Amino acid sequence: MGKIKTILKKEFKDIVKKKAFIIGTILSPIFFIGMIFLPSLIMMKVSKTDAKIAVVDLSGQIFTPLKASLEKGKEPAKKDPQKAVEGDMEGDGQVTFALEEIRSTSSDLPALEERLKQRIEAKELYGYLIVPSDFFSSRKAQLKAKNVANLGVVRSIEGSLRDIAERKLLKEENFPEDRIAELTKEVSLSTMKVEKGKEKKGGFIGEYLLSVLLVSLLFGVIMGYGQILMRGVVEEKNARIIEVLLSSVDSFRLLLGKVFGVGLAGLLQVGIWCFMLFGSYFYFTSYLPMEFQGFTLSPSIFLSFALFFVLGYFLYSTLFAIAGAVSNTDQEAQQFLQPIMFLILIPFIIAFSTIQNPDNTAVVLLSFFPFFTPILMFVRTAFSTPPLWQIALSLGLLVLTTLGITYLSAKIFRIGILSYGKKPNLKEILLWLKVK
Amino acid sequence: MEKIEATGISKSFGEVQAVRDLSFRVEEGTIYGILGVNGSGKTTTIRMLLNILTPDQGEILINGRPFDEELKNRIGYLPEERGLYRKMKVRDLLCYMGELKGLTSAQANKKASYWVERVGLSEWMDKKAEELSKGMQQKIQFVSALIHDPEIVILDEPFSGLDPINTVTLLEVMEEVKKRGAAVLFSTHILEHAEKLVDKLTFIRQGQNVLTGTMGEVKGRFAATLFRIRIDGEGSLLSSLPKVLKVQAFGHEYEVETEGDTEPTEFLKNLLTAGLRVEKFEKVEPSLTNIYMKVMRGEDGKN
Repeated sequence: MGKIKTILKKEFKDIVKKKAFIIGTILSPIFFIGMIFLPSLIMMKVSKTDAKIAVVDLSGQIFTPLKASLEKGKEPAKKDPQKAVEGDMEGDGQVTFALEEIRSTSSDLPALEERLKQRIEAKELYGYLIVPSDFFSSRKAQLKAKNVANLGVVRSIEGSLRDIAERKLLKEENFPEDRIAELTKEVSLSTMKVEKGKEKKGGFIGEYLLSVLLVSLLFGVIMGYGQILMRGVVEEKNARIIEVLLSSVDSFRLLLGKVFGVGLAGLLQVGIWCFMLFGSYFYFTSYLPMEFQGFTLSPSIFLSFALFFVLGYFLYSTLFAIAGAVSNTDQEAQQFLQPIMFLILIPFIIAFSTIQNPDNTAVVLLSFFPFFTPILMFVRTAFSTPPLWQIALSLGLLVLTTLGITYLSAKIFRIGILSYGKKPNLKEILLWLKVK
Repeated sequence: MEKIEATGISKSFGEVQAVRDLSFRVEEGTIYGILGVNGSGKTTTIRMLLNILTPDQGEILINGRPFDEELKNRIGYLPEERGLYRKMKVRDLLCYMGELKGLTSAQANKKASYWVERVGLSEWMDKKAEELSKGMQQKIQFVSALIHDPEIVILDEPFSGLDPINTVTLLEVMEEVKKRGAAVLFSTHILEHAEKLVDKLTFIRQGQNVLTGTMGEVKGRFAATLFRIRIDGEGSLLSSLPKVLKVQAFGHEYEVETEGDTEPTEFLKNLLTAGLRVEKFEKVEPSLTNIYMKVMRGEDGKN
């Protein structure tokens, strides 16, 4: 045990002391957080600008109700927080309107527009709206502005206009005021997840994104740290240090020490990332769209992530170690990357193409295949509740396979690292397994 | 006490038999040399001693018992192929090696300082290995095998690629280690080092012992008496003199190999009788090189 610790410590320090590790650990989440939160923050800022709109109301009936509806600000929206936040994501939200009525007839319209355009150029106006005289039958209006990409402005005007038109029609049909309010009420759909027979608050998108994030992390760390391990083995082999190491410690413990040491560095990095991501999540949570809010970060997701992360890393890292042991150069070792990557990519793809139905028989069966278990079983536990025996069985198989492969790879490792020159073929590698 | 006992060990790689029926013993407080040309099975033998390879046949006892993991802490090993972690600092590197041999980090640190000082590399202690010259790197590798004060020291071609000054340092250190009571076994194909150092040696050819013994015994086995002479006159006469086995010319000088019981006075008389004018006459001890050449050519010297 002592020697495993010595090797572990050395491998861990080697990685953690590198500038690339420190920079990657700190900068990646900042970059990532930026990617997630910055757009919302920016939109928030943009949408807070005042929108001064000139209304050329040729119908003569629109301006007053429109002004009332828009300048009242967010009051109608505030009654429905879900809608308000949803709107935020689209760039809606805190637009402060100021409406100015421009009286006109269709005949002097071109000249008027010319003047309005100049006012837009002079930044006096955000834009101007032309409501034609046949608005109520045609339901058409025109917004001309420098920026028509601000959906917040566009949607608000659109919504208010529709509302006014609908209300007028309903009024003409002699509906009472309260009936009209009832009829024009918006629909709001909220989602609930049922787990273990109980309702669980939370949106599907939030959990989906969280799982994509975690599984990508799993994938990235296995690939990244697996390669660090592989290059380490190739280096020790190339620099011929391996013989000295093997005269001090047996290959099994050497392999374990390296796998643990490199894995621990990976775990540290992921730990820091998770801490920063979720720390900032809770800090910035109010700025986020509804879909990202309120989904419970259930401890069981993290528990299962940690479990599958560690076991998955362990299983795959032994493969990387073998790849390093049977190669003479980094380039040779690179050739083994592709098959290993496929082995990880397949469950990755299966997982997210079947996410709506994670209990599909094929997925269930595949999730017992040890090389697929870390990703598929994790996704299944995140999106549904597989029976406990299935989780236990897949974990059992995964652990057994990992131990078996570690044992075999220690053997291959021992012979592989001492054989130089020609790259061994599969037959030779299998022969090595028979060597005592 | 016998530290290493190899009895009848053999090892094949496919068709190639690298070592066959090899036996030797190394006692504590002695230096044992394994001599042989490249490819004669030295490295394979050494790897078997360290359990990196397992013999197909035969038995190896270390400290009187079969190899086990615990023994690894008592053995210091310098492999033939050298290498260091290029990016690691000398101190960290030596400490790592020491800790892998069971030292605590404090012990390893102390030992590292001692050994680096001993080979005159103190000011390189905090430099990365890649900044050191090749010779310095070799010395670091050498002391990394000794950092844990091993009872058994196994060195595969320790002198290859070293300059004369560093070679002397190594020879001195090996003597020190021997005096401390360790058993030292090393392989080489450079004989002058072996000659100065070894208590006992074995020549191996094609994986077999061909000659084993102490330095005195080995020389004794080659009973031929050697004379180095310079004469003024025709050298071809020499081979016709009595008891002469072989004559080798080096310019005006000749190395004459005669039968083992040849007395110098007797041989000198024969020279003079033959009418040769002797300018220089010297009896020489057979050098290890001389024996080595014979052994490797397959003349076993028993005649």
